[in-house]
Amino acid sequence: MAKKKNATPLSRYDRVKLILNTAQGDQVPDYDGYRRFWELPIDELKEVVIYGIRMIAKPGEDDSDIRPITPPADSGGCCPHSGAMLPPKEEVKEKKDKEDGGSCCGGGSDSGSDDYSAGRGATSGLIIGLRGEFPFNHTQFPPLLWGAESRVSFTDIQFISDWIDDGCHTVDANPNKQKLLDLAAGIIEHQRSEKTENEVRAENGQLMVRKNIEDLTAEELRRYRAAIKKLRSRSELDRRGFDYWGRVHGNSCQHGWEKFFPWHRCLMHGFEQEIQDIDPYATLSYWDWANPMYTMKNGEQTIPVAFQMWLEDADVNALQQAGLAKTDADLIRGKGSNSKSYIGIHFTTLDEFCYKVFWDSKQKNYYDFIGKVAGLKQAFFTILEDRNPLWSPYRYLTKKTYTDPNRYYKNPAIMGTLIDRYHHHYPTQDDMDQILAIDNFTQFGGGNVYNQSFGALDMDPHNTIHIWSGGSNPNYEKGNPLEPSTGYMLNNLTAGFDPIFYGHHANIDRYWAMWQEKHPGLNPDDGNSVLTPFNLLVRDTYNYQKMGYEYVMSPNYFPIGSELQSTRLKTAKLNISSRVKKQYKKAAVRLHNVIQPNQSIIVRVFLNMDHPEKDSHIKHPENFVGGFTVFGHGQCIGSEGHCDPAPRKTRTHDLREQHHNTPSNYNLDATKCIQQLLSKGDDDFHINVLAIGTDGQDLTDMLRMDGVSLDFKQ
Amino acid sequence: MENNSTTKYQIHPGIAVARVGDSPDSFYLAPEGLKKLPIECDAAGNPTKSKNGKLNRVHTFKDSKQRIKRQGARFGIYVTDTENPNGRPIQLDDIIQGVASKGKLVDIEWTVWLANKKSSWYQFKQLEGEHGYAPDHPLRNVIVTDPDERQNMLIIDPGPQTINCTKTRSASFAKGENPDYAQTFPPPLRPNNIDTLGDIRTNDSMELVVLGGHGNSGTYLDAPDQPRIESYANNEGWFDDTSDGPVTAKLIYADERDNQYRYLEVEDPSWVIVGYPRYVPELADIITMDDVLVDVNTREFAANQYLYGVAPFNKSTNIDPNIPNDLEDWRSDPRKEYNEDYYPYFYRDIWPILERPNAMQWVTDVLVSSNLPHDHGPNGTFSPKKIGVPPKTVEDPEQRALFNYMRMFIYRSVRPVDETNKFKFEGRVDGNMTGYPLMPYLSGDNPLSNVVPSKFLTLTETQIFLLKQWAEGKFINEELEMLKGVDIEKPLESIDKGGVENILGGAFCPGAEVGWIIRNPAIYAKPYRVKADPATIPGMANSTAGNTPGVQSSHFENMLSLSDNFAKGLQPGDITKRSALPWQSDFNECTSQDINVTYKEWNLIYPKNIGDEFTERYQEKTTALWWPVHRPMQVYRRNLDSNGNPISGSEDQVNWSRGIPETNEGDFKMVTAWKDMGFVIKEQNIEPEVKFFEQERNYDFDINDQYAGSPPPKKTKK
Repeated sequence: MAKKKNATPLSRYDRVKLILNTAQGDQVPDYDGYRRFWELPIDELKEVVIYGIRMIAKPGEDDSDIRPITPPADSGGCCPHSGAMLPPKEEVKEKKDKEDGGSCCGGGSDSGSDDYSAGRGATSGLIIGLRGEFPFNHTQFPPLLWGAESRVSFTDIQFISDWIDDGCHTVDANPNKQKLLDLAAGIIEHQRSEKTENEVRAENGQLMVRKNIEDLTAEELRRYRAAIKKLRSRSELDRRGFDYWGRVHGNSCQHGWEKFFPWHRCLMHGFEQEIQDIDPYATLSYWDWANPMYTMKNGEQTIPVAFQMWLEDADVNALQQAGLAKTDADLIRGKGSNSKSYIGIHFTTLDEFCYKVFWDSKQKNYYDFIGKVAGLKQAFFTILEDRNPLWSPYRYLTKKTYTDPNRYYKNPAIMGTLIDRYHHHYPTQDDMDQILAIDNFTQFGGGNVYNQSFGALDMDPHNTIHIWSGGSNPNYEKGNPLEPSTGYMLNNLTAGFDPIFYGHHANIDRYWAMWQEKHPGLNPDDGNSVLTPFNLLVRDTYNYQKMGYEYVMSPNYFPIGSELQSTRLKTAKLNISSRVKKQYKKAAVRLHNVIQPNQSIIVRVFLNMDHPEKDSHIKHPENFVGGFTVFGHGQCIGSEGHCDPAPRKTRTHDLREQHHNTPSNYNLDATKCIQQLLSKGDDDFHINVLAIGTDGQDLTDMLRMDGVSLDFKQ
Repeated sequence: MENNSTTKYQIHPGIAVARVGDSPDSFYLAPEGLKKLPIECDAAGNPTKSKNGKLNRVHTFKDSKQRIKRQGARFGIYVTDTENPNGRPIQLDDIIQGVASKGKLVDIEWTVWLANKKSSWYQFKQLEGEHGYAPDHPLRNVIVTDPDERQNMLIIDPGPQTINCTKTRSASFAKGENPDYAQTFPPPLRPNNIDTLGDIRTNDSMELVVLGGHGNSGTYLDAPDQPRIESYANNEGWFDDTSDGPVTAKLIYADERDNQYRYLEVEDPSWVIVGYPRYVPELADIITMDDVLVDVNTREFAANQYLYGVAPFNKSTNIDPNIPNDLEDWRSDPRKEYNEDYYPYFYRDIWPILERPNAMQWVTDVLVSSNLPHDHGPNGTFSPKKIGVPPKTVEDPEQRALFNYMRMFIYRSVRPVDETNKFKFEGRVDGNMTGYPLMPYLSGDNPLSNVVPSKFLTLTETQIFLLKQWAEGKFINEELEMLKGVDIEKPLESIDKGGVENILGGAFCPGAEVGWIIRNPAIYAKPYRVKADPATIPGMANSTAGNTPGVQSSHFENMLSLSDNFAKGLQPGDITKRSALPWQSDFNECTSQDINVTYKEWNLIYPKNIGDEFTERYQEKTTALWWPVHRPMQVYRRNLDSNGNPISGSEDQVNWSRGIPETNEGDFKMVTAWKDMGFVIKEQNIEPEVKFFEQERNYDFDINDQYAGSPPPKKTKK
């Protein structure tokens, strides 16, 4: 996910001028002879007097010598109106202490500019005029701007007022504050976090996501591999080890009845917890084998690239140390007669690699090449597993054709595809849809203990994938542990030793989760039955969310930060892949942990709809995802701190009911909106949110939340 | 009260003017705005509209028999509530929230009471009486001494009339038309008898139209030398049929609980004033009644506390003028002042003052003969392109200095409000101006006697303050600021203004429709509302009458009073009773006035009596006009070809009242000749600029001016 750099952003001063010029339009009145007075040199602007009114108040001066236009205080409330888009000052200070420079827009604490003058904006003629306050309430003048094309919006007026408060700088003294203001007004985009999706979600108390492994970011994949590698480095006796968990599966797994799904859900959870002990933000990811991308044009099946092997230059060096001939190493590097380099090229099996590299040039296959140098095979295995801990040498995905006439002479039957050999294939989406349509758990997930039977998912797609991804070893050598007759995945006993096992079973679990969502309340019979060796009952698995994850094909989370008070917000483009666009089934916008405001707020969510207005959902229904109302908690009735946002989670031993204002999520189905925009020709998406007061007026108490996401599900 | 306090019903305009006419039936509606032609209406008083929905305006002012049509004053009821903060006309079926019940509006009962108290009142002696009459101030018809007789004979009181919008849609203030009321009408009069003060009717929009008298004036004295006129303002034995009085309304609604009709009184009565015809409807007087009321409202009713109030003019010292005690405190607060930071709007506040003098050229020949000193043209001293541009907008410093000078010159030419007897500019501030006559160069409230002389007219204090701000460069030009038409949205107030903008606002000697009484804040309940004596309002003094619609509520305990009591309120006839009797005599004489300006404090000096030959020889006199817009002097008349059709481009400037001398004899002629006078109307598109021509003059060409003859020597009032 590359972060796009914006072009030079407008300074606040530039934006003040832009706001006023835009509202004024082409026609400009005289303004006491100054015309576009906001274009005056800044020193003149600060002093300009129009019909006796200073447009910019003098800093920190109560009695202007020109005209006293401080209106009497006629409104006072517990939750004051000023500083509309800025967080309460206390909170800012706290935040500042914690993370320096994180937020800086609290009035008094903005020490960045020494000529900060609270309330200077509010007493400036320009602001009073724009707001239509006395004497610009027709007592003496009509509101500013005169003869203008449009009124300046509440947010923009506040923006200008803040700019004056901060000293009317032409260069942003504090670009960070500017950025926050822009973010809150939907002027600049919210970017994805530098952190991983799971990291930001988990920090905000949200469920982490198990993604399609194809959609992992490079960073996410790297961290997953690092965790697996760590697990694989531990011995089988270490209960934290990869092989230990492989053994658990081999020894205890439940198939052929209703415990198939619950047991494996626990296994996945337990294994995932081992991962998270190493990296708290790494999760399992799933291999969506029903996806047509894994069936190639010639009918061969394949596995996700993430599980495949490749060599880096350093690996070739290490192999040379282990006995790889220099000529062969040069071939790999592409230095020989065959100029093609195989560094970084992915292969499903080592056999395939050898064939590709050495057959054409040397008429050597795997058997000839690797089997004849002592220790080289083991070195290859070790180096490749080290390079990609998700790869396993004991995985024999059979190819359909080889030009080597002697190939597989020992065992010609293993040639060919699933179709060639069994008249079978990877499950298609259609197959899966039929399975998902099953309306009882017994048929879908297996019979109970009194009437045991395989469930549909268990018996075919699950088993088939096991068998195919395990496969039969074309180089089988009796008695050689490096060349068993079948792959790990093929057998129950060994399946858990191949890392692809977790991709496969995460997908199985995902299908159960999907089926559960489609058929709520249908569960395995014996909820109280213990799932050994896990400390869990069957019924503990009914709700997968309890285990802290959800399945999302392509999650797109944009952190907002609850200190930001927005009236509009806009995210960066998703950079969504064409595959997601083709294969998503559902899309949803979620506003994460919306802080309970005092004032009720009407929120409307759009896609690709910049600067939405009150009527945009009517004018542009195709961009409209949906809307909702945030039910404000009402005016402040307590003492200091009463209106502070409620904590996200209670303490472990806090047995009280959670705070009634605990921030919560708002989910909106965006499927239809995405469909409409795609058919209209949009090829990427960004989220726009508009928040308005329930009285249709601009807001004083604005929308605050931890983040917003647009998630695609398969 | 249980009333929904957010809903308010009010009659607008607060004050309106009807005008007499000798046509028995034909009438039109008041223009309801400054410099506008009257509104055409059908016989029921419904305004007629053109195809595009605009009001039709009247272009002929006389009926088929060359009789002047009457002008009706129209009143409507407007609802102000949260949905209509700016008000809207009331409609049938509106839900009326009564005192303790509510229901749909089914009818409106209008009550009007017109009276003429002129003959029973004090003599008009210039400003004497403005602040109370001296004990020895003479009465009119002083020979009638018995109070009962004065009441019964000298007050024209047809009694109140109530009509509604359903069955009883019209009524007359004529003799014998009010059987339940002890009417008083004068004895038979010559030359014209008075047996009615007018009529009222409701139109199809539930609006009230008030029509006044027919311009009849006469005396009951029948000595051989009668009838005759002896004075411009006071004539024994005389009566005229102008009048004034309150307008009240009740909203009749069907109580939604039992469907019984109940009513709600509309608060704040309006007032109707019947005056003489406005012969030049499209020209504005130098000071209108609205100008006077803006001044009164500003300085006495806290109507614009940003303009006039207590510093620092930031709302902190504002009061709510609707709270009587607060208003009283405010009135007595010595710190009140005009806000030096108030920026008048050029076209709203300044230009109306400055553009009027130049328009006088259509009703007097004085301006042309003095080379049009108020010319608006690009090279004129009053060019808005020069005097309307705020100083900061003028880039060229020389030009800026010139424009500053031009504005200051005009402002310095304006007569200060407390210098009504000052004729010329005497200051040494600007040598160029020394000796220039101060403006307006018009007669004041008393250029006649030595008691409280007030030789010349002055603008109102508020007008002068606004001019000062403008002269100092503190003003806003709406055109330059793209604010034209952008103003405080107060549609109801503009209806109120429209009611009084065509009424003369000075000088008052005694005035046209009204006199100096309108300057007295004591006669108002609030801005644009005359305080009505509750005894003359049906249903207020008498709580039992009028509960049931259809039962006349006009049962009044008291007869109209022979005295004033502003604290209680005004009665029918109390505004017009101070005007000239008959109106025709002062009307005829209010053309121009010789004013002795030798001494500021003296109008009349008698140097000869003491042998002061020097003063006799060198005493200084000038001649000033009164108010040519209300009483035209010279007008343009199109010459006619042999077929009697106007010849384009051929015109004469002629005396408007040609044939009628400005003498008491002429005054008597005017008693009947007012109806033969022509109307002076704007003709557009004849030339690049507008021109005004006289039309509908009777006995001019065809009978060769029955009044023609060698005019006698001109004389001034008295």
